[in-house]
Amino acid sequence: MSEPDAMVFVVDDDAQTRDSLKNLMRSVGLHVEVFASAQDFLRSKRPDVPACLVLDVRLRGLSGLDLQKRMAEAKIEVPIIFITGYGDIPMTVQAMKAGAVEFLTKPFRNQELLDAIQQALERDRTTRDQRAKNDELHIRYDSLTPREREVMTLVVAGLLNKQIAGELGTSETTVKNHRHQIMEKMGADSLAELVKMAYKLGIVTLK
Amino acid sequence: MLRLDFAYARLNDSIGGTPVEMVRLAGPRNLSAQPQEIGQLLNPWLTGDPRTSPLMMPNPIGKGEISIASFKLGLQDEVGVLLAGSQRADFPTETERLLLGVAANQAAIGLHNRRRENTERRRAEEALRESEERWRAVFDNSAAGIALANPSGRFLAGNLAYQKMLGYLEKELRELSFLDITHEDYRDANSELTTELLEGKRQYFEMEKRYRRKDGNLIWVHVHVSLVSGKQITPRFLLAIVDNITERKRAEEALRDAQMELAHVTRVATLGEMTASIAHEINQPLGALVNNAGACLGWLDAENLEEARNSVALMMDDAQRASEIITRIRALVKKIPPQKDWLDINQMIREIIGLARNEMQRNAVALETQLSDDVPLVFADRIQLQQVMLNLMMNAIEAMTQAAGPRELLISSGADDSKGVVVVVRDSGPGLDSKSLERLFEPFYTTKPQGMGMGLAICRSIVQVHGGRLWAISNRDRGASFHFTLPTSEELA
Repeated sequence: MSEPDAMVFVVDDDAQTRDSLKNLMRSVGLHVEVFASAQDFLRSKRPDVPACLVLDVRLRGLSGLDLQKRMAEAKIEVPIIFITGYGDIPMTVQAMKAGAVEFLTKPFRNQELLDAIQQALERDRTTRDQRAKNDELHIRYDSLTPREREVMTLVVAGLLNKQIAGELGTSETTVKNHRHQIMEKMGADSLAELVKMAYKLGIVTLK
Repeated sequence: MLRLDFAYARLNDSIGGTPVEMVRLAGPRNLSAQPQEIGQLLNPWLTGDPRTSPLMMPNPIGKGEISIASFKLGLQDEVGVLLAGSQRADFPTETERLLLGVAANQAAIGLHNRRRENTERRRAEEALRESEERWRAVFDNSAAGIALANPSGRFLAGNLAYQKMLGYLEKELRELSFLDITHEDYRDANSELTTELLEGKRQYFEMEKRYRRKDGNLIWVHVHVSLVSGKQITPRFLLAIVDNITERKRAEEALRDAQMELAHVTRVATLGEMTASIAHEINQPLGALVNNAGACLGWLDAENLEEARNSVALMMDDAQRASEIITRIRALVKKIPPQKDWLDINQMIREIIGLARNEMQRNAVALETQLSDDVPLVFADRIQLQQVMLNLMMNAIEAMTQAAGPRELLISSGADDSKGVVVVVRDSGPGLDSKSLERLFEPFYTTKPQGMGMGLAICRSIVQVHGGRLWAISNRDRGASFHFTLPTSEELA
């Protein structure tokens, strides 16, 4: 079977609840994998596709919040939808602060959960695209020569060609050529776009 | 030879009554001589000294004079006097005097013996009568009912207390057998015991049973029945000593009702403390049911009938689970009389863990169970034992939330030394001080601000009613352990 286009993970220690969630998600065409404990989830080999995690707050052993912390530490960036049997406000706040997408209190409507899942998957998809784009940017940046990187840093800092030539002890024509090369290699159409890229690459920071 | 015209004997009464006088005449019998009249005439001889009294007197029964011979009977005439008379002038001859003397002596001895025998017989008769009267009085006045019946059970007699107890007169009782007035439920057991008694298999038997009074009302009695073996004139019979224990039974019943009521109240109170957990336990399968129902709709939309059918089957399981939880809780809440059954103690424990699981999760209690496969079935009331288990677990959870440190609850079951069952609930809470250990099971003793102080008292009485023991110890490291034992079913059966 080919890799699914998205995955939903479920961690719940109640077998019946777990199976019913799996059934519900499968019925709307989602790909689901269920786990009885946080440890099982951490140990699992997950496909590299957009995903989200539906997580019961109260788990035997490692709790839902503990798992959230472990995932952050392990840089597992899967959006989490918490479900809980109690309207526990402090816990909700803690979970949301730590980046949970949604906090559903039982009983919730099926649609609420499915909507939350769709949103979470969407969000993960966007994040992943973003991340992919960033990766692309790095590749392009890596293709620049050291001299070109030097020039780019000065260009995005707002210096004129003449100033850059002075700074580097070279001719203005050479700088112009470098600049052309940089715009070409980075795939930037305008200076504004290049600045944005530089920002994403961490070459400049907003002061 | 002794030839007399008459003989008169006067016998004194030994206890001062009128003397007995007798006269025998030799002549024609038509003479109507009254012994008293003759006695009066003979008075000088009766009281005087026979040797000095005149020997002649006018004939009291004929003409002329008569010679008299008199003899005292006994010492100082304590027995009486014998007079003999004859018209012959030579009476009494020496021989006659001798013979009369011998006769008088013999008579005195005979009379004396007879009198002694009479006295003895009279004494014996009196003693017998007294004894009879005494026993009759015991029979009549006894506060306990006493009944006699022949071996077939027909009443021979019943004392006043017995008659009063039943509302039957004695003559009415004689028309009945004891089985007639015994409640149907006890007749078989009663007959069996009676048979064993008659066959000599037992000396006596006792039983508690119910009688139906003449007015139709039922009373509780305790009977002690023995067989009185027969003598020549009296055949063997059954003797029953009967106490009316209706009041006692009523009091016992009232006590039992009150205890049941109290147990029920505390059970409901305990469940009340767990409402959030119980709600969760029920919500869990209901949530699953809703999910599966949603899934079913999804599958129907996708026209996947197999999965849709599958979903419905899952929904049924979910509903089943929810209903089982509700049934379990309802059984605990319902007020039903105790009912003993064969039960698996481990299953009972698992059911209660199921109810309290969420309570443990909420309080971050880690549960460990060590349930031995090797425990015999016990004959016990499920609800009552569940109450004990629930109470001990809730106490343990509460104790642990009051102390820092790990919250570990260990529940174990196993066979105890005497082949019974022992269950241990061990917590890692603050433990118990010696004062608490001492008073823990007293009614109204509590360490909780909202506690009623009845939980453990009731638990102990429940365990005791089942023939077991409940006690607590402080663990060496930390926390407390509550143990309870239940005897094996064979011991109880």
